[in-house]
Parts: sequence; C-alpha cells; structure tokens
Amino acid sequence: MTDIAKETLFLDRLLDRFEAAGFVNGKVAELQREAAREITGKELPTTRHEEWKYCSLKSLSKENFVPAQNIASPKVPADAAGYIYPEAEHHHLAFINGVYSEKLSKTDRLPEGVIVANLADVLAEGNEVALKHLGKYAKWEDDPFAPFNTAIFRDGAFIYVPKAVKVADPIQLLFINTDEREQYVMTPRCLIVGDRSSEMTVVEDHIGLGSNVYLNCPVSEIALAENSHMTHVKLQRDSKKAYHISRLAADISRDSDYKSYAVQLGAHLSRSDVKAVLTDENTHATLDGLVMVNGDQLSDTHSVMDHTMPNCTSHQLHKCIIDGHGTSVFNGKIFVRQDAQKTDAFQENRNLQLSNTGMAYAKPQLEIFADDVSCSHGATIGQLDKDEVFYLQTRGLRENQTREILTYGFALDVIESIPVPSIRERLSKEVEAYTHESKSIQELA
Amino acid sequence: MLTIKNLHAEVEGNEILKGINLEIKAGEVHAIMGPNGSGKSTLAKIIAGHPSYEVTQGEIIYEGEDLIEMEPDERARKGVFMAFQYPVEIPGVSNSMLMREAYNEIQKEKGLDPLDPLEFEDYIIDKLNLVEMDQKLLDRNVNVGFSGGEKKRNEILQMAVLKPKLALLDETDSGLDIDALRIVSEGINKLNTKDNAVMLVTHYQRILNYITPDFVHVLVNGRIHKSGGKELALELEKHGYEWVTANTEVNGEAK
Repeated sequence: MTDIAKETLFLDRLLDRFEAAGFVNGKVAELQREAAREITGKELPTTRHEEWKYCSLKSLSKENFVPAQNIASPKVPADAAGYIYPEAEHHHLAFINGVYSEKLSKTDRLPEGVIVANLADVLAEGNEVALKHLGKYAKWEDDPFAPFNTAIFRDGAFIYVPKAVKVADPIQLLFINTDEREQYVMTPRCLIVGDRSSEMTVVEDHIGLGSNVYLNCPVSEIALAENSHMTHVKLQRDSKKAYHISRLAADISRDSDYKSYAVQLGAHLSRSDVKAVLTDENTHATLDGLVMVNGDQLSDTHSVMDHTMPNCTSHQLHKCIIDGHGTSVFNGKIFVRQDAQKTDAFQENRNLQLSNTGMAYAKPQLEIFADDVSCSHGATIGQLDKDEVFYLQTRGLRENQTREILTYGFALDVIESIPVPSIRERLSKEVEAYTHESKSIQELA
Repeated sequence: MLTIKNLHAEVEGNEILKGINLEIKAGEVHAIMGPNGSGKSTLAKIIAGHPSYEVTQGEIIYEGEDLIEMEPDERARKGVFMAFQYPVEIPGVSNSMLMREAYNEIQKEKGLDPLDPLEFEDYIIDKLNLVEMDQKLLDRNVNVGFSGGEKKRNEILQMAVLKPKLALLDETDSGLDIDALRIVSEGINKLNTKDNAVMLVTHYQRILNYITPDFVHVLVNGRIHKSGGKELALELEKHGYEWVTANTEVNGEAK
C-alpha cells in the first residue's frame, strides 16, 4: 500500500529534492510557497481521469530524477551555437538543462526599451511588469504540473516589448538538453509581455542532444495588451526517451492577435496543455500544431480556446502523423461564453496514419453559450491517398520517396504558416528524417 | 512490346474486364474507344499497375516480362507511362522537382548519370515548347491550382520528359477545348517514333482528327467487340456505340 502512495505522490516527493529557489522578492517567494502547498499530497493523474484518459503517467512515476542544476558540468557540445537560427543571430537566450547560459546568449540590436533576459535576474531586480504578470495565467483545474513548475523554477525567459515597438527579427529561446547519465528534471519558465501595439515573433526551441531519460516541464505565460501582435513558434525536439510536459497560457486583449505554431517531434511522452483566453472584443488567436510520432511515442495536446467577448476569431489546425506504434491525442475545447456573440471559431484535427499499429484519438469539444456564432470543427483519421501514391509511382518514384513526398505535403500547410524561413527548412529536413526512420523501422519489423 | 491475353480483372468483386486480348507493337498507335463504363480506363490503369484492381485471369507481357508481378514504379522505370484522366494535385512538391526525380530514377535504371537541377533545366526547356507551356508552371506545386487544360498538358510534358516506351493516355482529350486539344495532340505526335507505342483511351472520335491511329478497338462491357483501322472510328462517329454491340463478333464469342 505504501508503495502505491509513493508512486502517486511522485511530484510531492520530487519537490523535496529541490532547495528553495531563494527569490528575495516576497511576492515571488510567496507564489512559490503557495504552489508547493498545492502539490503537497496531490497524486499524479491516472487514466481514470477524463483529461488523462489516453496519456498514462505510470512510467513517469517509476523514474528517478535529480534536479538538473545539480549536474555540475553538463556535456555541452562545442558547436551548440549552431542551434541558433540565423534570423535570431542577435537576440537569443540559451538554457542548458533549464539553466541560463550567459555564454550562449546574446541580446544585441534590440529596439530601445525591449527586455530579453533571464527571468530569475529580472525578478531579482524587482521588475514590476514581470511581478505583475507572473503566475497570473498558467492555471488549470486539477493540474499538478503548472504548480510544480511554479514551486521550483529559477531560470527562464522574460521578454518585454514596450508600447508601439516592433521587434522585426525573431527572438529565439533555445533550450538545450544534454545527454547525461543522471536522469534530471527541469522547470524552465517563460514570461512574455507585449505592451500596447507591440509586435514580436518568439521561437521556443527544445532540443534533446542524446537519447536519455529526463523530464522537461516548462511553463510559458503570455500577456498581450491592446492591439499587439505576437507569433509564437514552439519546436519540441526532446530526446526520444524524455518526458515533455508543458503548459502554455496566453491572455489576449482587445484588437490583439496571437498566433501559435507548436511542432512536437520528440519525447517518449509529450503532453501539452495550451490555453488562449480572448479577453476582449476583436481579438484573434491561432493555435496550430504539427505532431509526428513513431516507435512508441505518445503526443497529447489538450487545448482550450476561450471566447469571452464578441467579434473574436480563432483558428486551430492540428495535424498529426502517426507511424510505428505511435499515439496522438488531441482534445480541443472551445468555449464560447454568453457574451461572445459573433464569434467565428474554426477547428480542424487531421491525422495521417502511416502504419497499422498507430493510434489516433481526436476529441473536439465545443461548449457554446452564445446564440449568434459560427463554429466549425472537424476531425479526420486517414491513410495516404491511394490515388496520389499511384500517381507518383507511375512516375517511377519508389515507395519510400512517394511516402516522403506525400507526408511532407500533408504537413505543409502548418509548416508554410511559420514565418521564419530557416525553421521551415529545418522542418522539411525533420519530415525527411522522419520518413526515412519509419522505413528503417519497417525493415526491422 | 505488349501482349495481353485473356485478361480478366475485378474491383471489389465486380468483374470489369472479361477477357481482353490485345497486341501492341513498337511504332504503333492504338485507340481504345468505348462508351462510359465499358472498362477502357480500367484497362489502362491495370497496365500501369493500379492497386485497386485485381487481375483474376490472363496475362500482360511487356517486353518479354510479366507486368502483373511488378509494382507500378517498377513498370514506370521500365518505360510504361500513364497520362491520367484526372491528374492528381501534389502539394509541397514543385513540378520541376517531381519531373527531375522521376527522370533521374529512370536514368539510374538505365545505368546512366542523373542530371543536377541546372542540367535538368536545360533539358526541360525544349519539352516545354512542345506543349506550349509557361515555364512558370515548373516552379508551381504539381497540378495545384492548374486549370483542366494545364493539367492535361502537364501530363504530356511529363511524357516528353520521361520518354516512355509505352504511353497509356487515359482520356487525355476529354475536357479540352479545340486549341488545347490541338497542342496536346501535336505534342503526342512529335513524341511518337518507331521505337515507342501509344495506347490512347478515348470516348470521342475528335482527337483522332489529330492523331492517326494504326488500330481502333471498341471496348464494350469489358470485352473488345470490334477492332479495325482508323476508318472504324469514323464509322463509330456515324453510327454510335450501339452499332457495335448490335454487330458483335470479335474475340470469336457473342456478348
């Protein structure tokens, strides 16, 4: 009996291994203490929980982790700077296993007043904007992972773009996770604030260098003031044995526009809870996604699109490619509150199955309390189109080439939306590698 | 080049072809005509290797080899080409890239060196003129946003690039206006040599004003009911397909 309790109180136990982050600011310290209290005695959700029906944390609960900052000298390769996209050459923050690396970071050529810095430093300095927004948005019912991050985070990214300022080139947040013998856990935190009429593009890139087990548990909060615009690209390429459990919350004000493109390629188990709250009139949110799973990978996206006020639009195109024994889960909730008349919400989840052994679970979930709205949603699960395959084969292309071309074509509309050319290039290479890998797995089978 | 003997084929349990015999030699143009649903497109697709059809009886011998056992891509690399009635749109792949990949696969099969993108560009320019196609269409994704006529011309462009031994043209003429039909037909004529053969599947006699067939076969209800020279097409135009079914005799059996 005691063993079961030990397993389910996994986060609680893990918390004990961390020293207090030691924020001197009373508000932050209190926020962390409160989050720690929230986890105390809280069990890990099981598959009996509706929100975790297809995503079992059983294997996670059996792992043994140490805090990432305890690893004295992580194995950082000499060419780590090669992960910086050319477009973000002058402004990027790098983190090694969640710990800020001043050496690999650079914040040149930013317009006046723009802050791109380590969150821990910004909070230590008592930055009022950061203190005002921290912990305000990343809240989910019954969720132990957001409070887990809140309770122990230290380093992370803080981005602030002041009124009417446009940061033309993307800002990259690079999370490099090294190949270590120890299994580590990290909780990077991002806080991104766009002031009125500001504009920015942020690229969040999680890269696992090895095929080791670790737990990456990031939380991002985004607050956009009136008439601001933000494009947010997230690339998850964690180790194929890692756990990636992330939370993202965006709070979007009047006349603002938030576009998120999340690409999930890595991790043994990847779980993303994403929430966009359209708090005022004439706002727009995009939550597009591309998932590729293979082997026994599982990728689970739970999204909430919350329309609270009239005349807002939202867009969700979530595409999953499933090979091997991979599993994709998509649960897309759209709330249209009573005041949110003239809402125009679009949601589509498309799954491409390349093997007979993969699984795809699609669950659109619309809760509409206003009467004058337009909400469309659809979910499809299918294989490669026979006629398209045949067409390419009659041109002499081999089965693997055909597969690669058509898989890329399936992923293309998400990839093409991403406004950073070198990420698009990166992704076409990832699709190529993915289809090659699937072939080699088939040959082994 | 191609010998088809007593070919029977079905899709989802329905027999579509009920004993086809056909012999095509190098340098010949064969027109396969017939009413809708007669099985004429099916015949082209089966020769190209479409996976939806099951050959239940008979054989297809191409250049001395059994085609039925080959994958569609293997057939293509050995020189069998099909121009589609409804060319498929392939997003994410430029037209020139597809043609270069396809061309290089065939080069490899022949033991020849592949062409790099620049060499290929030189190679394809002449072929574009053949079908009077705008070079811009090379950079567009395969058939995406092409008009009906552009799609058909693109099929013939691919034929010009890949230089097949046996070209199966599945209703390449249907849906084309007169000008486009003339361009496409002239393109096909220019590609026609003593070393290759064309099997032209068509519903209308119209295209035969431009392309002169050596043989015309009338397919009705899964069987070739009548074979003849080019004058047979004119007879058909005059009397309609009913005329053939009323005078059934070919293949030595009644319908």
